[in-house]
Amino acid sequence: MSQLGMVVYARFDPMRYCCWAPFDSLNRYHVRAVVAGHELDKWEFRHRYGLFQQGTDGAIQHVKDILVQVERGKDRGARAVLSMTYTTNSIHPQRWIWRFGIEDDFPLDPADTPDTFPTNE
Amino acid sequence: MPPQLLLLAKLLTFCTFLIALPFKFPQPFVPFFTCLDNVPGELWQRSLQVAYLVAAASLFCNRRVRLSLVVLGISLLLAILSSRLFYSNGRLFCGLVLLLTDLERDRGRPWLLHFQLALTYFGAGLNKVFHPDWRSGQFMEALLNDNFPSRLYGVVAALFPPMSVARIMCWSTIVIELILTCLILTGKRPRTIIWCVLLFHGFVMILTGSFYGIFVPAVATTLFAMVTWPERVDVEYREDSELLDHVRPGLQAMDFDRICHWRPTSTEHWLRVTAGSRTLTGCLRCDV
Repeated sequence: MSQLGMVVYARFDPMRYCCWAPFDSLNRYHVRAVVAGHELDKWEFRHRYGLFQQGTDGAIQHVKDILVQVERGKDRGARAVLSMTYTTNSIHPQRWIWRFGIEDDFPLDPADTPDTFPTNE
Repeated sequence: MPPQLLLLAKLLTFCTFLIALPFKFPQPFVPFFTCLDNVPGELWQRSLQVAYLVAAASLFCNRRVRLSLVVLGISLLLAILSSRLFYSNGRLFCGLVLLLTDLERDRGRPWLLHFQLALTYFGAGLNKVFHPDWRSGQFMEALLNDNFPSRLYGVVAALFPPMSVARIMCWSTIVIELILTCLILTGKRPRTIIWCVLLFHGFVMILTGSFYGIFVPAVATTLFAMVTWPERVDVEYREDSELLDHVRPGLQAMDFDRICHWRPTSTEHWLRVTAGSRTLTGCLRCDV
């Protein structure tokens, strides 16, 4: 019954855990992360978040949840800014920015235009 | 435990070893429950792995089968709970099937496994129905053009108006998943269900070249829950068959439950196997 509840709940929430919606969308993402004023390279990013800096995932909320939980987790008090550009099913380019402990504008190069969205090239 | 469920459990556990799943159990990292952040990582990981390996060995040796299945299922589910990075629908399905197999009764229809399978297809179908990219065919277009480029799809799609093939494939997937849900819940036509599931996933695998991790093997093995295992099998064989004289002792030794009853006859068939209402006849003439 709890699984059935999750299936129904997933209609009203972007999370896709335990709702049996495998591989329902194709998301290509690229994340830029600045932690304590330092922009992480792809190795540092992989080490910190366990994810590839640029990759694909069946549910973009899954990627967001991981990034946010790492920053909110224990011993992770550093000020951080995350900027993710992603496309869903090769269309719908979107940008997601998340700040932790920072009220200023996003400190990275703000030129994240649709041209920088992940493509297949 | 019914033999088909025991076979299901063993095959599924074997599949997890084929893809080295227990050796990928993670240390707690970005867990679903933050309390797991405080657990010693290596101790947690090794404990789950040891528990899984011991339970698998016990299962394969037919020792404390139900307890083994509980340990296998819970180990896998705990591994998933300890890291969002480890989460996948296939692994979750695998852990739940192992756990539910243990909870099934010795007799009667394995309702829990049927419900699990039906719910899986229902969730997948329902999600797709409400997803605009599935309704328009955009998902399949992206899947077969960008993620798993398919020449076959490219050739076929070029023959029809844009997106029409993709839209047909998307809606076919949705309809198949929802029909499977109904068929599994009614419990009727088990052979149709089995063939439908195998062909459906087989086609997707060929098209994308992907097993989707443990998901497809897990679903395929779960289909054993749709099978009615015979309680008695009558095997009639020609008594002048030299080949069967050599092979029969080995086959009888493998029949641990002694459900096969061998009987020599002078029938025209080399071998005649009757299980319930079904009869299979062999007309191999190699030693006649």
